[in-house]
Amino acid sequence: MATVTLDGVNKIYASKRGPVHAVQDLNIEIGDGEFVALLGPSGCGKTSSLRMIVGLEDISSGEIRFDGRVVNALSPEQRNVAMAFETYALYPTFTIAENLGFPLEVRGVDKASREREVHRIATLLQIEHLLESRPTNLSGGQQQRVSLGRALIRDPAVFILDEVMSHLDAHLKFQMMFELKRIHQSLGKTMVYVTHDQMEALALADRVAVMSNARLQQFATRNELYHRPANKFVADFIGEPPTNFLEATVTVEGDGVTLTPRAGELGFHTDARRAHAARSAGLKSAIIGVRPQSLSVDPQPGMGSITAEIVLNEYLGEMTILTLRSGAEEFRALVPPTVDAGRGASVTLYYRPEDVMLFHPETEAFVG
Amino acid sequence: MARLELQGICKGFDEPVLDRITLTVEEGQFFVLVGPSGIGKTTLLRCVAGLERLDAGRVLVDDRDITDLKPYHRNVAMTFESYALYPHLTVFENIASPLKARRTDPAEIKRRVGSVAELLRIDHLLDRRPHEVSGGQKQRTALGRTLVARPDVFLLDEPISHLDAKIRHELRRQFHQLEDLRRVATVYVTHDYAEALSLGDRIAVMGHGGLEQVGTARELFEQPATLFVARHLGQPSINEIACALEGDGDGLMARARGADLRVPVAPRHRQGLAAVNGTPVTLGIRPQHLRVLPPDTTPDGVPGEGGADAGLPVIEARVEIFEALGAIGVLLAEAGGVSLTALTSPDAHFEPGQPVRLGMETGAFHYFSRETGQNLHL
Repeated sequence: MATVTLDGVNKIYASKRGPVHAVQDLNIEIGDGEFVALLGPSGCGKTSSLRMIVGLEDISSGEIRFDGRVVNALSPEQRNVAMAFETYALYPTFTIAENLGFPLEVRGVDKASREREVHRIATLLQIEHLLESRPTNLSGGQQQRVSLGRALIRDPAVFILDEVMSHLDAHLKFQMMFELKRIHQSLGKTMVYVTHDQMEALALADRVAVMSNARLQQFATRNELYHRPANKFVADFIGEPPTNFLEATVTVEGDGVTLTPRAGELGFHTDARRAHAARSAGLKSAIIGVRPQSLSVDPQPGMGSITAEIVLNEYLGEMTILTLRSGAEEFRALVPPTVDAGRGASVTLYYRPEDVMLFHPETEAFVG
Repeated sequence: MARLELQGICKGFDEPVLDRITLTVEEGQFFVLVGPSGIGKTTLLRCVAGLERLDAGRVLVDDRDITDLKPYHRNVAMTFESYALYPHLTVFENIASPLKARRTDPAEIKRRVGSVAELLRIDHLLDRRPHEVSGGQKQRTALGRTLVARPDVFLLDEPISHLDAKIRHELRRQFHQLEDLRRVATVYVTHDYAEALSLGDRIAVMGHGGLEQVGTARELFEQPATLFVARHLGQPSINEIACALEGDGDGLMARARGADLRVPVAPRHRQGLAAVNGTPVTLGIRPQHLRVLPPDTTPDGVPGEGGADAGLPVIEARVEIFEALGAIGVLLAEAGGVSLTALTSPDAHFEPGQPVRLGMETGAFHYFSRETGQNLHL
């Protein structure tokens, strides 16, 4: 069990074209037993950060502390960190039991204790019935579980998972996500999960660190990332279908403000809090962010409304995505699968004023 | 302008990959083949393109038998999952290559490549080479090369599967609006069910050797002919519960095997199921048809008006795990020894062990034969 602190951490690689700043002034504090995801597009610095936490990469400057103790100079073994990778790297000639027990055997743990531990982990991962099989006879999902088990069996202080689900098919991925969540609930270990897939990160982690361009953009819970994204990048990266962005003119009207998208004929109203934020920032224009699921066909008291023309109706079984047009603006709404109005039809959509997000037109920072 | 017809196509003798596949793609139709990887979808496309020899069956375009024609005599254009662009040619030259091969007039080539590139929004990239553009742009270049050829039949093999979610949304939208595609017969192969439901005028779900079901998106999702189809479409997957049917006064009840869970059969399913009373079935429940009810619900149902939830039969369950995804929340709950997945709002909050009541939209449930996998009440 451990807290993990990254304090002003930098990673600079030397290259022919000069130094490359891969991680810039990273500050993250991971609580004991917390499940944290490092999320970002490829090249954002998440893998370098992960490798510094594990001890596979030197830290250019700054400190990494486990339970308050600086670990910068410690090897991965001394840090007691275990890691599972995207590739399972199981020994093909060993049985599953031997694969699981191997890290203990290396440490000289006696046979009886080893067998006890192998059974404990196999039960946790629900692979007891596979212990005598060999890796080639297992499905991808089963192999991934064995690989997790082998990392867990060392009883690490911190458990790190690097893109462990990215090659699993969608159905298997869903199963594994529940599996991982259950493992975390029953072990209560500090876990760091690295991924480029926002759905995995949101589903699994207590808090998500969103990275872009070597910098931490926001470190927050799913709710905060969704409703108070630090900037346009976060709002855009989190959520599927992606957030709608519209460039708008800001008009102050008494208590509220009206946002008029430049290219469309829509008007959005925000709540008093956001109006206040826009006024005190002195904004004449702003970028509006509205999530597709914030646009509903079902009116509720206090909601604003917009009317637009349907360009496309995509029925997806559990839900339907409408692509809509107003003037030259195009945007999407997520509606129940019962909506079957098609191309060319006009539809009225309702939104809660507090779901209309405002971003600064130049800095793209969240205004309110 | 063409109509594509496959008649009894077979491939592979001992273990048939394709077993008597018959289907028709009408002129202007966007036909999607969806199924798990390795099931033979690409093999079927290659048979149509003439890249594979058939062991039996015929391929017809506008009633003309093209089974024995060489690929280049078929006027069929295919895009490959791997793009297969010429690395030393520019985007323009890549798109133009099928027209060049046919010695089309240079002015005409310029005009057609320009219009296709504009449609695919890669007109600003025409001078670049493949390694200078992104994956999505390569994909669109490959697609442009197929579109420009004006074939009778388009064959598209996983054309957007390697792209990230955002570009996939954008390209799905573009596919819908490509008028060129809407004038010919198109067969589109994917393993992604959402892509299939979104794009297909008609969709075939492919299982081992053959087509499990052909229909519209709504037909396949809401009236799956087999358990295989139900299982393949939908995320999270449909709940599958091994049950026995038994009489219950005037009605029918599905009792979970080895568990303490009983589900009343909806009146609309009773007639179809009465004949199989006593036989083992698989009850299929889509997660969105289990609705988490407000805490003041009684075991008898939703109090007062209750809105959409009124009158639903209720089961008592206990929360195992809750995950808030983007637009949905997924709840795993245990009821009488059966683990069930239900869809909720992502903003809901549940603690492990917490009791919940689930309202069952039994009219949307499915009952499949445990022996054949067939839907018993279609």
